[in-house]
Formats: sequence, C-alpha cells, structure tokens
Amino acid sequence: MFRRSKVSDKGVYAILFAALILASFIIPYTLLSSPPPYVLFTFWSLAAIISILLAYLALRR
Amino acid sequence: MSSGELYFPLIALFSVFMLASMLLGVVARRRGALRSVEEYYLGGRTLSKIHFFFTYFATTYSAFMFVGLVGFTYLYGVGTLGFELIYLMGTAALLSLLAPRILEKARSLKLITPTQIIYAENGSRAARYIVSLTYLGFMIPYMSVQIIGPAVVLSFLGLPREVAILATLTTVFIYVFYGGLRGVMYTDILQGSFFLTIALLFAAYLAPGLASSQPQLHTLPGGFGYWSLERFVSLTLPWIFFSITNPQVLQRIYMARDRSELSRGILMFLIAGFTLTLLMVVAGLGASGIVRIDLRDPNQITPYLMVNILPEWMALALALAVWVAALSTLDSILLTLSSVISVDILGRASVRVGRYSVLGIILALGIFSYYTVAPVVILAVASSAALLYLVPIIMLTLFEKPSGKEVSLLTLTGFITYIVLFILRNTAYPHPLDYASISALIITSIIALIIYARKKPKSN
Repeated sequence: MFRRSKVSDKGVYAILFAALILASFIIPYTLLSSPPPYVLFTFWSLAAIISILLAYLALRR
Repeated sequence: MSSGELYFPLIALFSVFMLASMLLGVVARRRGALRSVEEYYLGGRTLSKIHFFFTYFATTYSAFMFVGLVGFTYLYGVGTLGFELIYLMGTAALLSLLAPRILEKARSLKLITPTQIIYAENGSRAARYIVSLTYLGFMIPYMSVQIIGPAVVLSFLGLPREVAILATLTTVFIYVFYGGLRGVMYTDILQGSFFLTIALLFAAYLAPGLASSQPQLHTLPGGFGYWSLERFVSLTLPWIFFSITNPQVLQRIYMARDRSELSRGILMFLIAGFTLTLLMVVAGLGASGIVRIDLRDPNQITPYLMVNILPEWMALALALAVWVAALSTLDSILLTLSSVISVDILGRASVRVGRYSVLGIILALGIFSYYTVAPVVILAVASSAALLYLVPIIMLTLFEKPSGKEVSLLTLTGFITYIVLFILRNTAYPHPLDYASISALIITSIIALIIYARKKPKSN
C-alpha cells in the first residue's frame, strides 16, 4: 500500500507558481542586473510562458 | 500631421462606433437581458468559453495598455514588461487554482456580487458594508482613469476633452442600462477584437525600430532609474492579486456556463494577454529606436506618436482602439458596482434598482472625471493597492468556513490599517515602497492564518 502524499496536487502547483513569481522579482535584480539587450525581455517572457503551461496543467486536473 | 487636423474623421469614426455599441445594448435587451437579476448582472450564468474569454480580456486590458504601457516602455524600459508579465503570472496562478472553486461556490450559493463571496456564508455585516464601500470608494478613481486617459489622448487629435468624456459616459450608459451584462458582453467581443487587431498593426509598424532601441532601456533600473526594486515591488504586488481583488473580474468567474468552459476561457485569456503585452512593449521599445521624444510624461508618448509618427489611418484607428479599450473596462466596472449598490448596500436585488444605480454612478463619474486630472497610472495602481487587504479574507472564505465575527475582525483590521497608513504615506511619511497596502496585506494574512490554523482539525 502506498500512502498518499500530504501535499496535494494543488499545493504543488501553488509552490511552483510562487517560486516562478518570486524568481521573476529576484533574478532580474541580482543575476541579471546588467544584462545584454533582450536578456531580461526573454527571461520574463519565458517565465510567463511557463506560468501559462502550469495553468494549463492545473486546469486539466 | 499636426494636432487638430483629424477632428472630423475622428468624429465620424466615433459616431459609427457609438451607434454600433448602443445598438448592441438594444439587441441585448431584446434577448432578455432585463428578465432577471441573474440575467442582468451575470448573463444568466451561461457564458461559453468564447464569451468568457472576450469579456474577461476586454475588461482586464484597458486604455493603459495603449497609453501607459507604451509610454512606460519608451521612457523606462523593459522593467515595464516585468511589471505587466508578473501580473499575468499571478493571474495564471490564481485563476487556475481558485477559479473553479469560486465558480462552484457562486453556483451553490447563488452569488450575484463579488462582495457576497466574503459574507454570504457567515453573514458578516461589517464585511458586507466595508468591502462594498472599499470597492465603491477606490474603484471610482480607477473608472475615472478609463475616462480621463482616452480623453487626454483624443485631445491631441483635436477632440475637446469635455466632448470625449461626454461621449464615453453616454455610450456606456446606454448599452449597460438597456443591455446589462449581455450588452457588455456583445460590445466586449466587438471592442476586444478591434483593439487586439490594432495592437498588432501598431507594434508591426514600430517594430523596425527595435534594432536601434536605447541600450539603457534593456537594463534595470532602466531609463531615468525608474524601476528601482522598491518601486517595482510596490507597483507590481497589487496587480499579482488583481484577479481576485478587483470586483469586475472576480464577478466574471461566476458567469461561466461550467468548469470546462471556464478553464478553456481562462487559457484563451492568458495567451491573448501575453500576446497583447509583448506587442505593446515591442511598440514602446521600437518607438525608442525610431524617434527621440523630449517628454517626461509617459502618458504623452502614444499621443505624440499618433500625431507625429504614425500614418493618418493608423492614428485614427489607434485613437479609436484607446477609446474602446477604455469603454470595455469601464462598462464592466459600472455594472459590477451597480450590483454592489443594489444587492449589498441597499439589499434590493432587482433589475430596476440596478439600472438606477447605473445612472447614479454615471452621474457621479461625470462630475469626478470633469473636475479631476491626475496621472493615469498612479490612480489606476492606487485602486488595486487599496484592495490588497482583501486577498487573505477571500482565500479564507474559499478554503474554510470562518464565523461572521472572524470575517468582521479581518475586514475591519485590514481596512483601518490600510486607510491610516495610506493617509500617513500621502502626508507625513512618503516612501517609494507602498507600505500601506503591504502592511495591510501582511496583518490580514497573519490573522487569517491564525483563524485557519485554529479551524483545521487536529491530526492524530
């Protein structure tokens, strides 16, 4: 018998979303503070695309 | 092309759009928009994914996208993209995790207003009235932004500001008064399709300037050192929670036909929102590579481009897009606030009272818009910041069953904290960090967590 995880699917998605949003605040002001052109543009765009994919997965449940 | 030349073509174009919008309001009435309170405010809870997508998209994205966002990007750089996309990430998270639960609750409790999700189950009178007054008190500036912003843009093209305000108020009044949510939804489809198309053309026209855009705009804190971390956090944080704090978008979740249509509509919204954001940032960065504008007010950049850079047909189309984007946000807030007045404040859930509430708000708004001129973005952001203290209260009512006293305590604490600190921040202790809304959010979060922990059954 396997025991169910204490963290629900919804909890996992919530943690992933929170990490993504937090990274979108922290990384541009630390690691990417003086980037070449379009690096920040690409970073935030990718983060937004990942959030849409996460939303897709969360809504499919 | 100089300012003022476009007066007559502009009038003609606006007249056509005004008539079309009013006609859609009449069509909505013929289709039973006034049949019941549920029909008038929620479209009978029958919105398909397409209807949900268009009304959510057109409600969320306002004239700010064409005026504020382009101007901010032009002057302050790519930090503007971060600000807008973090909003989208927050919305993706909240809608995907909470919207199905909100829909379920709205259906089982037959909720009409956004305020009801907080007090319907526990009967908190304090929450009912304080939250309603918070919505009314802080959404009026947000609504005025939707009127003043386009009026400023149109004045660059020769249309007097007063005429633009009157045209906006008259048009939106007619189709909301006669068509209710169905009037709003039909016009949202027209408006949303139109301004998305124009955004594409606008960005395509300015995109060639991307290659020579200012290098400083690609870094942080960007042009004029605007995007300091404090400002970035202060402006962005309230928008992360926009989808549950702002009543007009929260109420839209109640309207979906079922969970499946809601989910698909949400995904369509996220993709379209992402696209529109990229387009407007491309337009702002591209413009910086094409022309040097000696202006410091971000709200004047788009009007400058319209008058001096864009071809005449595009300037006209963009002016109309700014106006319809404003209308599509204004109409939704108007209808939502009328539901708050009639159901939550007056306690009279009738279509007749709702329609007279619409009239009352329009009159108040006319006075407010005519006599108030303030920076577009600051006003819009202030309204969302003021609603931030509602986040833990809404979360708690979604996941637990707090008592009326507990909800009243939370509401009063959050509201008083915000108001006191808001006054301090605007008088004695100004600071770039919006400590008023953040403190109110933290305090209500702590109290909500304590209540939640006490209610959770103790594990063995």
